[in-house]
Amino acid sequence: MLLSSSVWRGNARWWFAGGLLAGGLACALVAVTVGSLLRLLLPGPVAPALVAAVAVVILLGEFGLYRLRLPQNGRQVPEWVIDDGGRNGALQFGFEMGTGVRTYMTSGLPHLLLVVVLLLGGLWTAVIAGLGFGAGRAWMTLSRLWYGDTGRWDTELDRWLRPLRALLAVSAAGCCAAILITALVTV
Amino acid sequence: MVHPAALRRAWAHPLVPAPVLGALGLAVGALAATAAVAATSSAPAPPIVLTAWVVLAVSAGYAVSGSV
Repeated sequence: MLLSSSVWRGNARWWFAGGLLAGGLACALVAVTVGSLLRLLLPGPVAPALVAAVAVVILLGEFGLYRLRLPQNGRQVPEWVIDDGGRNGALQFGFEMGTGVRTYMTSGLPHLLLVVVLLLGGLWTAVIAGLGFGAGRAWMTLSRLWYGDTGRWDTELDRWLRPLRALLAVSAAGCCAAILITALVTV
Repeated sequence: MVHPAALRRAWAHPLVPAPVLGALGLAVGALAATAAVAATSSAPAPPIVLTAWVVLAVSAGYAVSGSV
């Protein structure tokens, strides 16, 4: 794993985390801008209905009822970005990962978040969503480093992956319900 | 006395955030549904909605990061 490399010295992990936040924010702002145009074409309750339908499809996949293949750009950030060294390499690496457009999508929840931002997000909720996404990515990545034994951490992740994904899907379901209820009540 | 390394491994374990996020997501969903039902056509309070956005986003980021 790149983050266990000796390349990451000093404060590189924090620049990486900053890049994740910036990448998430950039992606969310693009999404809400595009979404604000899309919503001009969608009458009243159509947007919440679309979000509800997408949420059901994605969350059932997260619970393992079927294998859902969603679009992803399954390419890793190139090594030369890391080899650039220091804060610039870490920041760029984090930014590219934080946008979600150059990464393997092991979960459908980012797609669900994107659809929610596109169809129901305002400026400040998009900011919150983008920063939150980056923070979630940073949390797992940094906890892997703080654990002290990255090999054992990876083993534990593999061992607990199914319940972890199920719990996160439960979280997403509850949050989507709250956001949808708000959208429907205010339509 | 808990050894610092053991404490760090406890809270940095990959599973730790998941039940916290799951509980928060369920809580905001339940609170929003209660607000909508208890007071007809009432929108959930802003803190509930904002919490929902934060928890959804963090959950999405955390869910995908095993691929790093």
